[in-house]
Amino acid sequence: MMLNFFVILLFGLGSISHCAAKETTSPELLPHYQWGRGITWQAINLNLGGYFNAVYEHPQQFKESVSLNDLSLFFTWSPHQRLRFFAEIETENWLSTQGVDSLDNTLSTERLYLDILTSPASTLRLGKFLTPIGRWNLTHVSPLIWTTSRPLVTERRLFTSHVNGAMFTHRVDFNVHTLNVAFYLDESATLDAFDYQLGFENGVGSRVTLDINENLQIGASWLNFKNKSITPKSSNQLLGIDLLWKKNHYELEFEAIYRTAEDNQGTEHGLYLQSVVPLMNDFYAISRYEYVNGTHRYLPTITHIGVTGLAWKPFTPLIIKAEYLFGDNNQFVAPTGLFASVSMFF
Amino acid sequence: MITLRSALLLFTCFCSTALFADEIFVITHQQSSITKLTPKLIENIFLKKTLLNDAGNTWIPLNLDPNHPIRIAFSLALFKKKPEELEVFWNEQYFQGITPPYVVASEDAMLRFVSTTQNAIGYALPCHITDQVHVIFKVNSPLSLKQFCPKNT
Repeated sequence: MMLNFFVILLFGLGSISHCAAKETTSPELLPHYQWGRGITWQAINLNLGGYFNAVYEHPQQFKESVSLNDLSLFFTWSPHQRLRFFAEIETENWLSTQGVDSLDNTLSTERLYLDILTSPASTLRLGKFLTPIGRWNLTHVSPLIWTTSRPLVTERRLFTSHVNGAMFTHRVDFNVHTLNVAFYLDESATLDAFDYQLGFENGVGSRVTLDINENLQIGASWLNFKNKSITPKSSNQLLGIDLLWKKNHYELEFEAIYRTAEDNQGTEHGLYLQSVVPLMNDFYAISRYEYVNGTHRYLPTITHIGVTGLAWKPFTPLIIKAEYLFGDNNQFVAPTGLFASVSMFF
Repeated sequence: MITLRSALLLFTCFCSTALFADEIFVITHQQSSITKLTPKLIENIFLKKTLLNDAGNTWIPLNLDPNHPIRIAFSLALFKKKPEELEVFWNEQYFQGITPPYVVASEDAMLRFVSTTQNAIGYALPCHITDQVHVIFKVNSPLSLKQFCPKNT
Protein backbone atom coordinates (compact mmCIF):
# COMPACT_ATOMS: atom_id res chain seq x y z
CA MET A 1 0.00 0.00 0.00
CA MET A 2 2.67 2.46 1.10
CA LEU A 3 4.97 1.29 -1.69
CA ASN A 4 2.24 1.95 -4.24
CA PHE A 5 1.72 5.41 -2.81
CA PHE A 6 5.37 6.32 -3.26
CA VAL A 7 5.65 4.81 -6.73
CA ILE A 8 2.72 7.00 -7.76
CA LEU A 9 4.25 9.98 -5.97
CA LEU A 10 7.63 9.55 -7.66
CA PHE A 11 6.03 9.00 -11.03
CA GLY A 12 3.88 12.09 -10.60
CA LEU A 13 6.79 14.26 -9.56
CA GLY A 14 8.88 12.83 -12.37
CA SER A 15 6.22 13.84 -14.89
CA ILE A 16 6.06 17.37 -13.50
CA SER A 17 9.87 17.53 -13.52
CA HIS A 18 9.93 16.43 -17.15
CA CYS A 19 7.59 19.28 -18.08
CA ALA A 20 9.74 21.72 -16.13
CA ALA A 21 12.84 20.41 -17.86
CA LYS A 22 11.52 21.34 -21.28
CA GLU A 23 11.59 24.96 -20.23
CA THR A 24 14.92 25.05 -18.42
CA THR A 25 17.24 22.29 -19.62
CA SER A 26 20.68 23.34 -20.72
CA PRO A 27 22.57 20.81 -22.82
CA GLU A 28 25.39 20.88 -20.25
CA LEU A 29 23.11 19.70 -17.47
CA LEU A 30 22.24 16.17 -18.43
CA PRO A 31 21.54 13.62 -15.67
CA HIS A 32 24.65 12.00 -14.30
CA TYR A 33 25.50 9.52 -11.56
CA GLN A 34 28.27 9.96 -9.03
CA TRP A 35 29.17 7.25 -6.54
CA GLY A 36 27.96 8.30 -3.14
CA ARG A 37 26.03 11.28 -4.48
CA GLY A 38 23.25 9.58 -6.44
CA ILE A 39 21.79 10.51 -9.80
CA THR A 40 21.59 14.27 -10.24
CA TRP A 41 19.59 15.99 -12.90
CA GLN A 42 20.81 19.52 -12.36
CA ALA A 43 18.57 21.05 -15.01
CA ILE A 44 15.45 20.25 -13.02
CA ASN A 45 17.07 20.19 -9.57
CA LEU A 46 16.37 16.51 -8.99
CA ASN A 47 18.48 13.98 -7.13
CA LEU A 48 17.88 10.31 -6.42
CA GLY A 49 20.20 8.45 -4.10
CA GLY A 50 20.37 6.52 -0.87
CA TYR A 51 22.42 4.13 1.21
CA PHE A 52 22.50 0.61 2.58
CA ASN A 53 23.70 -0.83 5.84
CA ALA A 54 24.40 -4.55 6.30
CA VAL A 55 24.95 -5.61 9.90
CA TYR A 56 26.45 -8.57 11.73
CA GLU A 57 25.37 -8.82 15.38
CA HIS A 58 26.46 -11.33 17.96
CA PRO A 59 25.29 -10.26 21.40
CA GLN A 60 26.20 -12.68 24.16
CA GLN A 61 23.41 -15.14 25.07
CA PHE A 62 21.63 -14.37 21.79
CA LYS A 63 21.82 -15.92 18.36
CA GLU A 64 24.12 -14.22 15.90
CA SER A 65 22.51 -12.64 12.87
CA VAL A 66 23.30 -10.93 9.61
CA SER A 67 20.78 -8.51 8.17
CA LEU A 68 20.24 -5.83 5.62
CA ASN A 69 19.55 -3.41 8.41
CA ASP A 70 18.73 -0.43 6.21
CA LEU A 71 18.10 0.17 2.56
CA SER A 72 17.10 3.77 2.04
CA LEU A 73 16.24 5.87 -0.96
CA PHE A 74 16.55 9.67 -0.98
CA PHE A 75 14.52 11.81 -3.29
CA THR A 76 15.24 15.53 -3.51
CA TRP A 77 13.48 17.88 -5.86
CA SER A 78 13.41 21.63 -6.04
CA PRO A 79 10.47 22.65 -8.23
CA HIS A 80 10.87 26.33 -7.42
CA GLN A 81 13.66 28.66 -6.31
CA ARG A 82 12.28 28.75 -2.78
CA LEU A 83 10.97 25.20 -2.46
CA ARG A 84 12.83 21.97 -1.77
CA PHE A 85 11.07 18.65 -1.36
CA PHE A 86 12.83 15.76 0.35
CA ALA A 87 11.75 12.18 0.99
CA GLU A 88 13.56 9.20 2.47
CA ILE A 89 11.91 5.84 2.06
CA GLU A 90 13.48 3.03 4.05
CA THR A 91 13.23 -0.71 4.47
CA GLU A 92 14.42 -1.85 7.87
CA ASN A 93 15.53 -5.45 8.44
CA TRP A 94 13.92 -6.59 5.22
CA LEU A 95 16.43 -9.40 4.65
CA SER A 96 18.18 -11.29 7.40
CA THR A 97 19.41 -14.71 8.38
CA GLN A 98 16.15 -14.97 10.32
CA GLY A 99 14.24 -14.81 7.04
CA VAL A 100 12.74 -12.42 4.54
CA ASP A 101 10.07 -10.05 5.74
CA SER A 102 7.44 -8.50 3.50
CA LEU A 103 8.05 -5.02 2.12
CA ASP A 104 4.78 -3.81 3.59
CA ASN A 105 6.05 -4.72 7.05
CA THR A 106 9.48 -3.22 6.66
CA LEU A 107 8.93 -0.20 4.42
CA SER A 108 8.58 3.15 6.14
CA THR A 109 8.78 6.82 5.42
CA GLU A 110 11.79 7.93 7.37
CA ARG A 111 11.51 11.58 6.34
CA LEU A 112 9.10 13.52 4.16
CA TYR A 113 9.19 17.29 4.15
CA LEU A 114 9.08 20.50 2.22
CA ASP A 115 11.61 23.24 2.86
CA ILE A 116 10.47 26.77 2.13
CA LEU A 117 13.48 29.08 1.82
CA THR A 118 12.09 32.22 3.39
CA SER A 119 15.36 34.16 3.07
CA PRO A 120 19.03 33.39 2.28
CA ALA A 121 19.51 32.45 5.95
CA SER A 122 16.09 31.16 6.99
CA THR A 123 14.07 28.05 6.19
CA LEU A 124 10.63 26.85 7.16
CA ARG A 125 10.34 23.05 7.13
CA LEU A 126 6.96 21.32 7.00
CA GLY A 127 6.42 17.58 7.26
CA LYS A 128 8.13 14.66 8.95
CA PHE A 129 11.78 15.21 9.89
CA LEU A 130 14.40 14.11 12.40
CA THR A 131 14.01 15.48 15.90
CA PRO A 132 16.75 18.08 16.32
CA ILE A 133 18.13 16.89 19.64
CA GLY A 134 21.88 16.48 19.90
CA ARG A 135 24.07 15.54 16.96
CA TRP A 136 23.67 11.79 16.70
CA ASN A 137 19.97 11.74 15.91
CA LEU A 138 20.48 14.22 13.08
CA THR A 139 23.36 12.26 11.53
CA HIS A 140 22.42 8.78 12.71
CA VAL A 141 22.63 7.21 9.27
CA SER A 142 25.17 4.41 9.20
CA PRO A 143 27.62 5.79 6.56
CA LEU A 144 28.00 8.95 8.67
CA ILE A 145 28.66 7.40 12.06
CA TRP A 146 31.62 5.52 13.42
CA THR A 147 29.99 2.59 15.20
CA THR A 148 27.37 -0.03 14.41
CA SER A 149 25.73 0.42 17.81
CA ARG A 150 23.94 3.58 18.80
CA PRO A 151 24.47 5.38 22.13
CA LEU A 152 21.59 4.75 24.52
CA VAL A 153 21.00 8.45 25.14
CA THR A 154 20.15 8.91 21.46
CA GLU A 155 17.69 6.00 21.26
CA ARG A 156 14.03 6.31 20.36
CA ARG A 157 13.04 5.16 23.84
CA LEU A 158 14.60 8.26 25.34
CA PHE A 159 13.05 10.64 22.83
CA THR A 160 11.19 10.05 19.62
CA SER A 161 13.46 10.34 16.64
CA HIS A 162 10.96 12.11 14.39
CA VAL A 163 8.81 15.20 14.47
CA ASN A 164 5.62 15.68 12.47
CA GLY A 165 5.06 19.38 12.22
CA ALA A 166 6.94 22.55 11.37
CA MET A 167 10.41 23.88 12.06
CA PHE A 168 11.86 27.33 11.47
CA THR A 169 15.66 27.63 11.24
CA HIS A 170 17.81 30.71 10.98
CA ARG A 171 21.56 31.09 10.53
CA VAL A 172 23.65 34.04 11.64
CA ASP A 173 27.27 34.44 10.56
CA PHE A 174 29.56 36.72 12.50
CA ASN A 175 33.32 36.76 11.98
CA VAL A 176 34.35 33.10 11.82
CA HIS A 177 31.40 31.98 13.93
CA THR A 178 28.06 30.63 12.79
CA LEU A 179 24.99 30.49 14.99
CA ASN A 180 22.13 28.22 13.96
CA VAL A 181 18.81 28.46 15.72
CA ALA A 182 15.90 26.06 15.19
CA PHE A 183 12.45 26.24 16.68
CA TYR A 184 9.91 23.48 16.02
CA LEU A 185 6.39 22.34 16.78
CA ASP A 186 5.14 18.76 16.72
CA GLU A 187 1.53 17.76 16.30
CA SER A 188 1.88 14.05 15.56
CA ALA A 189 -1.50 13.29 17.11
CA THR A 190 -3.15 14.81 14.06
CA LEU A 191 -0.37 15.04 11.46
CA ASP A 192 1.32 11.63 11.64
CA ALA A 193 -0.17 9.95 8.59
CA PHE A 194 1.84 6.82 9.33
CA ASP A 195 0.63 6.60 12.95
CA TYR A 196 3.97 5.69 14.49
CA GLN A 197 3.06 4.34 17.92
CA LEU A 198 6.29 5.39 19.63
CA GLY A 199 5.88 8.94 18.39
CA PHE A 200 5.04 12.20 20.09
CA GLU A 201 1.49 13.19 20.85
CA ASN A 202 2.66 16.75 20.46
CA GLY A 203 5.62 18.87 21.46
CA VAL A 204 7.56 22.07 21.13
CA GLY A 205 11.32 22.42 21.10
CA SER A 206 14.37 24.29 19.97
CA ARG A 207 18.00 23.69 19.18
CA VAL A 208 20.92 26.11 19.03
CA THR A 209 24.36 25.35 17.66
CA LEU A 210 27.39 27.60 17.60
CA ASP A 211 30.46 27.03 15.46
CA ILE A 212 33.19 28.41 17.70
CA ASN A 213 35.67 27.92 14.88
CA GLU A 214 36.07 25.50 11.98
CA ASN A 215 37.07 22.71 14.41
CA LEU A 216 34.61 23.11 17.25
CA GLN A 217 30.82 23.16 17.44
CA ILE A 218 28.71 23.25 20.58
CA GLY A 219 24.96 22.75 20.78
CA ALA A 220 22.02 22.83 23.16
CA SER A 221 18.58 21.30 22.77
CA TRP A 222 15.31 21.66 24.61
CA LEU A 223 12.00 19.85 24.16
CA ASN A 224 8.64 19.85 25.90
CA PHE A 225 6.55 16.89 24.76
CA LYS A 226 3.84 14.34 25.37
CA ASN A 227 4.10 10.75 24.20
CA LYS A 228 1.45 9.17 22.01
CA SER A 229 1.17 5.67 23.41
CA ILE A 230 1.96 6.35 27.05
CA THR A 231 -0.60 7.10 29.73
CA PRO A 232 -1.19 9.25 31.60
CA LYS A 233 -0.27 11.84 28.97
CA SER A 234 1.75 14.28 31.00
CA SER A 235 4.04 17.01 29.80
CA ASN A 236 7.69 15.94 29.77
CA GLN A 237 10.85 18.00 29.52
CA LEU A 238 14.13 17.17 27.83
CA LEU A 239 17.38 19.12 27.92
CA GLY A 240 20.54 18.29 26.06
CA ILE A 241 24.00 19.65 25.39
CA ASP A 242 26.51 18.43 22.85
CA LEU A 243 29.94 19.13 21.49
CA LEU A 244 31.91 18.10 18.42
CA TRP A 245 35.59 18.78 17.92
CA LYS A 246 37.37 17.73 14.73
CA LYS A 247 40.92 18.32 13.62
CA ASN A 248 43.25 16.43 11.27
CA HIS A 249 40.88 13.42 11.27
CA TYR A 250 40.81 13.31 15.08
CA GLU A 251 37.35 13.66 16.59
CA LEU A 252 35.77 14.07 19.97
CA GLU A 253 32.01 13.94 20.32
CA PHE A 254 29.97 14.42 23.46
CA GLU A 255 26.27 14.48 24.25
CA ALA A 256 24.42 14.65 27.55
CA ILE A 257 20.66 14.47 27.92
CA TYR A 258 18.31 14.86 30.86
CA ARG A 259 14.64 13.90 30.50
CA THR A 260 11.93 14.26 33.08
CA ALA A 261 8.74 12.25 32.69
CA GLU A 262 5.77 12.13 34.95
CA ASP A 263 4.26 9.29 32.94
CA ASN A 264 5.40 5.68 33.18
CA GLN A 265 8.27 6.36 30.79
CA GLY A 266 10.17 7.64 33.80
CA THR A 267 12.99 10.10 34.32
CA GLU A 268 16.32 9.40 32.68
CA HIS A 269 19.64 11.07 32.10
CA GLY A 270 22.85 10.01 30.48
CA LEU A 271 25.76 10.87 28.27
CA TYR A 272 28.30 9.53 25.86
CA LEU A 273 31.81 10.57 25.00
CA GLN A 274 33.34 9.21 21.81
CA SER A 275 36.80 9.62 20.39
CA VAL A 276 38.11 8.87 16.91
CA VAL A 277 41.82 8.49 16.25
CA PRO A 278 43.18 8.08 12.72
CA LEU A 279 45.51 5.12 12.23
CA MET A 280 47.10 4.18 8.94
CA ASN A 281 45.61 3.30 5.54
CA ASP A 282 42.23 4.91 6.24
CA PHE A 283 41.70 2.93 9.46
CA TYR A 284 40.35 4.66 12.54
CA ALA A 285 40.24 3.58 16.19
CA ILE A 286 36.97 4.34 17.96
CA SER A 287 36.34 4.44 21.71
CA ARG A 288 33.11 5.36 23.45
CA TYR A 289 31.96 5.57 27.00
CA GLU A 290 28.24 5.74 27.84
CA TYR A 291 26.37 6.28 31.05
CA VAL A 292 22.63 6.01 31.56
CA ASN A 293 20.74 6.48 34.81
CA GLY A 294 16.98 6.19 35.04
CA THR A 295 14.20 4.32 33.35
CA HIS A 296 15.36 3.12 29.96
CA ARG A 297 12.93 1.04 27.94
CA TYR A 298 10.76 1.05 31.09
CA LEU A 299 13.56 -0.63 33.05
CA PRO A 300 15.17 1.21 35.97
CA THR A 301 18.90 1.02 35.38
CA ILE A 302 22.28 2.53 36.09
CA THR A 303 24.31 1.40 33.15
CA HIS A 304 27.91 1.95 32.10
CA ILE A 305 28.93 0.94 28.59
CA GLY A 306 32.23 0.85 26.77
CA VAL A 307 32.63 0.46 23.03
CA THR A 308 35.94 -0.11 21.34
CA GLY A 309 36.30 -0.70 17.65
CA LEU A 310 37.82 -0.07 14.29
CA ALA A 311 36.43 1.65 11.23
CA TRP A 312 37.88 1.52 7.74
CA LYS A 313 36.99 4.15 5.15
CA PRO A 314 38.75 3.06 1.95
CA PHE A 315 36.53 5.38 -0.10
CA THR A 316 34.45 8.34 0.97
CA PRO A 317 30.95 6.82 0.60
CA LEU A 318 31.95 3.45 2.10
CA ILE A 319 32.63 2.54 5.72
CA ILE A 320 33.31 -0.85 7.28
CA LYS A 321 33.13 -1.14 11.07
CA ALA A 322 33.70 -3.72 13.78
CA GLU A 323 33.34 -3.14 17.51
CA TYR A 324 33.08 -4.84 20.84
CA LEU A 325 30.51 -3.52 23.29
CA PHE A 326 30.74 -4.30 26.99
CA GLY A 327 29.49 -2.79 30.22
CA ASP A 328 28.02 -2.92 33.65
CA ASN A 329 24.27 -3.52 34.12
CA ASN A 330 23.93 -3.48 30.37
CA GLN A 331 22.49 -6.93 29.68
CA PHE A 332 18.92 -5.73 29.10
CA VAL A 333 19.47 -2.38 27.44
CA ALA A 334 22.60 -3.03 25.36
CA PRO A 335 23.95 -6.59 25.66
CA THR A 336 27.68 -7.24 25.53
CA GLY A 337 28.77 -8.53 22.17
CA LEU A 338 30.44 -8.14 18.82
CA PHE A 339 28.94 -5.92 16.15
CA ALA A 340 30.07 -5.18 12.61
CA SER A 341 28.62 -3.49 9.57
CA VAL A 342 29.21 -2.40 5.99
CA SER A 343 27.51 0.83 4.94
CA MET A 344 27.63 2.84 1.79
CA PHE A 345 25.98 5.81 0.17
CA PHE A 346 25.12 5.12 -3.44
CA MET B 1 67.89 48.60 -29.78
CA ILE B 2 68.62 45.43 -27.81
CA THR B 3 68.43 47.38 -24.61
CA LEU B 4 65.12 48.87 -25.62
CA ARG B 5 63.75 45.40 -26.49
CA SER B 6 64.99 44.00 -23.15
CA ALA B 7 63.43 46.88 -21.29
CA LEU B 8 60.18 46.29 -23.15
CA LEU B 9 60.30 42.56 -22.36
CA LEU B 10 61.01 43.26 -18.71
CA PHE B 11 58.15 45.74 -18.61
CA THR B 12 55.84 43.18 -20.24
CA CYS B 13 56.84 40.54 -17.74
CA PHE B 14 56.32 42.93 -14.88
CA CYS B 15 52.90 43.87 -16.21
CA SER B 16 52.05 40.22 -16.68
CA THR B 17 53.05 39.47 -13.14
CA ALA B 18 50.98 42.32 -11.84
CA LEU B 19 47.94 41.56 -13.99
CA PHE B 20 48.15 37.78 -13.82
CA ALA B 21 49.24 37.38 -10.25
CA ASP B 22 48.13 34.24 -8.46
CA GLU B 23 44.57 35.31 -8.06
CA ILE B 24 41.34 33.54 -8.87
CA PHE B 25 38.39 35.64 -9.92
CA VAL B 26 34.93 34.74 -8.67
CA ILE B 27 32.53 35.37 -11.53
CA THR B 28 28.81 35.78 -12.05
CA HIS B 29 26.58 36.52 -15.01
CA GLN B 30 27.33 39.84 -16.66
CA GLN B 31 23.81 41.10 -15.91
CA SER B 32 23.88 39.93 -12.30
CA SER B 33 22.30 42.37 -9.89
CA ILE B 34 24.61 41.19 -7.12
CA THR B 35 27.41 43.70 -6.80
CA LYS B 36 29.20 42.67 -3.65
CA LEU B 37 29.95 39.40 -1.87
CA THR B 38 31.93 38.76 1.28
CA PRO B 39 34.37 35.84 1.58
CA LYS B 40 32.06 34.21 4.17
CA LEU B 41 29.10 34.48 1.83
CA ILE B 42 31.08 33.03 -1.07
CA GLU B 43 32.12 30.18 1.20
CA ASN B 44 28.48 29.60 2.16
CA ILE B 45 27.36 29.66 -1.47
CA PHE B 46 29.95 27.08 -2.56
CA LEU B 47 29.11 24.94 0.49
CA LYS B 48 25.41 25.36 -0.35
CA LYS B 49 24.69 26.67 3.12
CA THR B 50 23.30 29.77 1.41
CA LEU B 51 20.99 28.68 -1.38
CA LEU B 52 19.28 31.97 -2.20
CA ASN B 53 20.70 35.32 -3.21
CA ASP B 54 19.32 38.63 -1.95
CA ALA B 55 16.95 38.81 -4.91
CA GLY B 56 15.38 35.53 -3.85
CA ASN B 57 16.87 33.47 -6.68
CA THR B 58 18.77 30.21 -6.28
CA TRP B 59 22.52 30.42 -6.55
CA ILE B 60 24.00 27.93 -9.00
CA PRO B 61 27.58 27.42 -7.83
CA LEU B 62 29.93 25.62 -10.20
CA ASN B 63 33.11 23.72 -9.60
CA LEU B 64 35.94 22.33 -11.67
CA ASP B 65 37.00 18.70 -11.29
CA PRO B 66 38.44 17.98 -7.80
CA ASN B 67 41.84 17.25 -9.37
CA HIS B 68 41.95 20.47 -11.38
CA PRO B 69 44.75 22.74 -10.04
CA ILE B 70 42.49 25.80 -10.07
CA ARG B 71 39.81 23.93 -8.10
CA ILE B 72 42.44 22.84 -5.57
CA ALA B 73 43.78 26.38 -5.26
CA PHE B 74 40.27 27.83 -4.95
CA SER B 75 39.33 25.30 -2.29
CA LEU B 76 42.49 25.97 -0.29
CA ALA B 77 42.00 29.72 -0.58
CA LEU B 78 38.33 29.70 0.42
CA PHE B 79 37.97 26.77 2.81
CA LYS B 80 41.60 26.15 3.81
CA LYS B 81 40.95 22.57 2.76
CA LYS B 82 41.60 20.43 -0.30
CA PRO B 83 38.49 19.27 -2.19
CA GLU B 84 38.80 15.72 -0.85
CA GLU B 85 38.86 17.05 2.72
CA LEU B 86 35.36 18.39 2.19
CA GLU B 87 33.95 15.01 1.24
CA VAL B 88 32.90 14.23 4.82
CA PHE B 89 30.99 17.51 4.86
CA TRP B 90 29.31 16.61 1.55
CA ASN B 91 28.40 13.18 2.91
CA GLU B 92 26.47 14.90 5.70
CA GLN B 93 24.85 17.28 3.24
CA TYR B 94 23.88 14.40 0.95
CA PHE B 95 21.97 12.89 3.86
CA GLN B 96 20.07 16.21 4.02
CA GLY B 97 19.37 16.04 0.29
CA ILE B 98 21.99 18.60 -0.69
CA THR B 99 24.55 17.66 -3.32
CA PRO B 100 27.85 19.44 -4.07
CA PRO B 101 28.04 22.15 -6.73
CA TYR B 102 27.74 21.02 -10.31
CA VAL B 103 31.13 20.16 -11.84
CA VAL B 104 31.93 21.53 -15.27
CA ALA B 105 34.56 20.02 -17.52
CA SER B 106 36.88 23.00 -17.97
CA GLU B 107 37.39 26.70 -17.38
CA ASP B 108 35.92 27.32 -20.83
CA ALA B 109 32.79 25.43 -19.83
CA MET B 110 32.71 27.40 -16.58
CA LEU B 111 32.87 30.71 -18.45
CA ARG B 112 30.30 29.57 -21.00
CA PHE B 113 27.91 28.40 -18.28
CA VAL B 114 28.25 31.52 -16.15
CA SER B 115 27.90 33.84 -19.13
CA THR B 116 24.65 32.19 -20.19
CA THR B 117 23.04 31.42 -16.82
CA GLN B 118 21.57 33.98 -14.48
CA ASN B 119 22.52 33.25 -10.83
CA ALA B 120 25.41 30.99 -11.77
CA ILE B 121 28.61 31.63 -9.85
CA GLY B 122 32.00 30.19 -10.68
CA TYR B 123 35.66 31.06 -10.83
CA ALA B 124 38.43 31.40 -13.37
CA LEU B 125 41.92 32.76 -13.74
CA PRO B 126 42.24 36.46 -14.55
CA CYS B 127 43.90 35.73 -17.88
CA HIS B 128 40.89 33.71 -19.05
CA ILE B 129 38.18 36.14 -18.02
CA THR B 130 36.03 37.45 -20.86
CA ASP B 131 33.75 40.45 -20.97
CA GLN B 132 30.80 38.04 -20.93
CA VAL B 133 31.10 37.59 -17.16
CA HIS B 134 31.18 39.87 -14.17
CA VAL B 135 34.07 39.65 -11.71
CA ILE B 136 32.57 39.95 -8.26
CA PHE B 137 35.46 38.97 -6.01
CA LYS B 138 39.16 38.20 -6.16
CA VAL B 139 40.68 35.38 -4.15
CA ASN B 140 44.40 35.11 -3.51
CA SER B 141 45.59 31.68 -4.51
CA PRO B 142 47.94 29.90 -2.11
CA LEU B 143 49.33 27.97 -5.09
CA SER B 144 51.18 29.27 -8.10
CA LEU B 145 48.90 29.24 -11.13
CA LYS B 146 51.04 31.28 -13.54
CA GLN B 147 51.73 28.29 -15.74
CA PHE B 148 48.06 28.22 -16.70
CA CYS B 149 48.21 31.75 -18.07
CA PRO B 150 50.15 31.95 -21.33
CA LYS B 151 52.39 35.02 -21.34
CA ASN B 152 50.97 36.36 -24.59
CA THR B 153 47.42 36.51 -23.26
